[in-house]
Amino acid sequence: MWNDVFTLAYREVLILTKIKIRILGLIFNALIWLVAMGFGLSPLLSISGVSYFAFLVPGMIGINLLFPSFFGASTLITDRQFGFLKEMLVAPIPRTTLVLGKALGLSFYATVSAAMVLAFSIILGFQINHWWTIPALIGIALLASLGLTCFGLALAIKIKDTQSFQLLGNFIVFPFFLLSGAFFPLDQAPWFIRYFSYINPITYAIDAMRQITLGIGHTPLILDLGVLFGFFIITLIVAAKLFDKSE
Amino acid sequence: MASKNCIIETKGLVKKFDNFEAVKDVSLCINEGEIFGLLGPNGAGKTTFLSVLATTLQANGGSAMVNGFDVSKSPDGVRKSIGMSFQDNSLDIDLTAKENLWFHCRMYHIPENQINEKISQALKLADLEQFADREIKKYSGGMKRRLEIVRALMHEPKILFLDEPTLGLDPQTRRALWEKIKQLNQEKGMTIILTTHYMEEANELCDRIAIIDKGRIVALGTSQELKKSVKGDVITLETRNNQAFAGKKFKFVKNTKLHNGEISLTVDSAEKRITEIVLFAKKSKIQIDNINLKKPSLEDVFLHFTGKTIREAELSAEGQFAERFKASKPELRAR
Ligand SMILES: Nc1ncnc2c1ncn2[C@@H]1O[C@H](COP(=O)(O)OP(=O)(O)OP(=O)(O)O)[C@@H](O)[C@H]1O
Ligand SMILES: [Mg+2]
Repeated sequence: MWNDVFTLAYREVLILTKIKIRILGLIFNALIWLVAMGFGLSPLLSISGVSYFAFLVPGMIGINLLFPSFFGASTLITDRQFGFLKEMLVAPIPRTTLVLGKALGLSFYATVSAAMVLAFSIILGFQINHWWTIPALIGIALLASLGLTCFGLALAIKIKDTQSFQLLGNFIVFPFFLLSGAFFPLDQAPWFIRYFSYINPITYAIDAMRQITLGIGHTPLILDLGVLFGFFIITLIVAAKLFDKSE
Repeated sequence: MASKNCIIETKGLVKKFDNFEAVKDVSLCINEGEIFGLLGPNGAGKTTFLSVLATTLQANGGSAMVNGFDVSKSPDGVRKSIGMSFQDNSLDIDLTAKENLWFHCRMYHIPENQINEKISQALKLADLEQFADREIKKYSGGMKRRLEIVRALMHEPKILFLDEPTLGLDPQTRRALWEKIKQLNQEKGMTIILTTHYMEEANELCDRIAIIDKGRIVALGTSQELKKSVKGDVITLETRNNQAFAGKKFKFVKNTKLHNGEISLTVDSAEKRITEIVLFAKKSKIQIDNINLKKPSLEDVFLHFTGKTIREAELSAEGQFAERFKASKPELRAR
């Protein structure tokens, strides 16, 4: 099974790396966010004793995870449109493995994008106290990304054209993006923002990353990780079930 | 009870798209080790039928067993027994030929140390060695077709489904592929089910042929048996008054069909009867523009069972599709 997951994931990554402009896009995206948000706002603010730039870094990592994870799932729709999905569907591979393999490949790519943000932040002066925080951050990013891609895949199974997926995706992703504690601390936010944030998996990813880098956060680390893991397992099962039914 | 030597057996199989029955009550037994042909016009339901057997579509009624596995209850068992080449593209267009073949080997668990060997064999067979590292989006239609077929053979499945394998191939390539199909069948004992529009292909390749029209099997047998079922030779006429011919009851004519400005008469020993027909025309002052004598072919078999030539059936199927297309829901069209 892990061999199959690897093969499927490898194919995803292979395709993504063939499109050179995507890699440039990733780097550019990461830089723009950091420079504009971090340097634009940080002289004005400081939160819980840390600079706004430092506060923002975990948020930026989370956001740069969200977009490629979720929208990467639209490749399932193009696989269907160009016919390759049929090759996967007649192969003697359980649907759960298909979903997991695709999710892992897309998550790998999203995690690279998040790691790039981290790398730029460090270059721009973000303090890392222990070397192990780097692999820990990447692990959290990967876990969060797996859940988000499975979530995207579950939708992509139901929605059969890319335009609708993009449109619906924007409706879903923007609240996730704005109400995640990426830009402001949640404890000072009004209750409706807070409540929404607590059903948003990105919130937990960002919270976990803030705790291990800055030592500030709202929820215990173990709860953060539990939520992310649970979200991944549930979306994986749902996506595999939907897949089984629809094809 | 399932008969012993049916490697594929369907009973009353039905597949619906909304309210439209694309496969209607098909019961069929395909023997182990045979080359079985599904012959029929566009929209007959060939692809749909194969897709149900290959587990990519789910049936709405009846049952289908493939290599002892029920398609709806143990699809994974079915998938392990089969290989399939599809009518439409199923290659990853962003990957190269080599990468596509590699992916296939991995999905079918071909041992790591055999993969390179398998890939070079397949590329050689498809005559695509020079293009091994070219992305599929830069391939021509025929190149894709060839790659698609050799890919389906790579894991040497027990049962091979080929949906229109030779569509769009040039004549030499088509011949070469026929040879390969026969060879796989004889040497490896592979059961092969293929669909085709081409009478000659069915005639040349298939041990048995099922003629499928509008989702139903209308005739089944060896090419010889099917031809015999037409019971006689066919005289085709084009005259200025076909109606008069159709109305005239010749004693020796077994079957009369009017279609597309032509009239077909089924008779025994057509050579002897042709003079009588010409005489009748002369007496009735009907001018004959064209007269043709044919020993039965599969084309005639098709005509015999469906009342249409395969071309006409395709045209009407397209018409029907156009109707359904207009009426269908937008999400169906988007596919
Ligand atoms: N996904 C679908 N949704 C709705 N109708 C469909 C779908 N797929 C096929 N059909 C209809 O089912 C019928 C059978 O189609 P099918 O593709 O099985 O025909 P076929 O015999 O393979 O034809 P061809 O020779 O053109 O490949 C057609 O009328 C077609 O319009
Ligand atoms: Mg077809």
